[in-house]
Amino acid sequence: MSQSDLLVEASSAATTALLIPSGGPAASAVVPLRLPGELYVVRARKGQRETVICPLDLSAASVSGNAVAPAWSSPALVISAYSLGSVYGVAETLLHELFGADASLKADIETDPDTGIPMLVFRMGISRELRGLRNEFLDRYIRETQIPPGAPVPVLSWTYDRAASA
Amino acid sequence: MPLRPEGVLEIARALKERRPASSGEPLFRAIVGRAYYAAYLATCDAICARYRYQLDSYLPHEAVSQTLAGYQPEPDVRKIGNWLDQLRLLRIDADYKRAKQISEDQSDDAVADAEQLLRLLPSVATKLPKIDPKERP
Repeated sequence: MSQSDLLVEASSAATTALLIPSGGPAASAVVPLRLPGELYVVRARKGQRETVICPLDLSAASVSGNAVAPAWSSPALVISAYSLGSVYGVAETLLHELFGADASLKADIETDPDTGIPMLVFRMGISRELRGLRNEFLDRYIRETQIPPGAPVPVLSWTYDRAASA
Repeated sequence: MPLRPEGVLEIARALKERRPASSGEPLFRAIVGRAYYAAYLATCDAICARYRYQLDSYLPHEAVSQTLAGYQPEPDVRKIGNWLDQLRLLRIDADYKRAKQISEDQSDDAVADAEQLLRLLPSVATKLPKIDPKERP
């Protein structure tokens, strides 16, 4: 992709809109962009999703018309990038209210081995005796949270202490 | 005769109640798998009926559970999506993560969640969001 293919234009909100048109090289490419702050577009090969690497705020960026999404390198990054902090906060508050101070909540990332699609998981550890309250948790969690448009929906996962086993 | 989701769930219940000779984790994992598929198939059938897709149209697992779990206009649809997401993750653990323990409690909960989902589904059948069928992978 040549540097002349890069379009940088100002939006009506005076925010620089970064547009990289389609029709780049078929082979893999690392394209440095002429913007301050060491900005690169990396494409592993044709048809693969491009990765934009830079220290800038990319919330308004697009690559070939596709919105830039954060890499799933850590659950904290995913929660922050998709504004899921309040959802996590409500889950934590409800968890302790219903299951006590000893209940635990940990955000995690899992990958579906069949599809390679990542999942944001809220892992909740509770006392086995209280697992009957899961439905009450779910009802309140649904009532009290809003998933931002485009954000991944956290998958709830339950484990129990003193679990019964065969 | 097409496979009924209720029939799949009956197998999960039967395994749970009759506890065949090979008991313990292999049993719990099998129960989790059947519970998830009963819930997933029932949800797909409901979406196919709502949008008049061919029976057995392929709706990707992640798309079904995530779309429903994030469907803000309808809390009961979100509930179904959340149960489906939980069951989907547990089924992934049961089928692929041999080092991770699957407990009897978790398999019991999987059956209970699938039963609740199948009971709730008819009441939200007309409110389910559209999910486009895809080619099978």
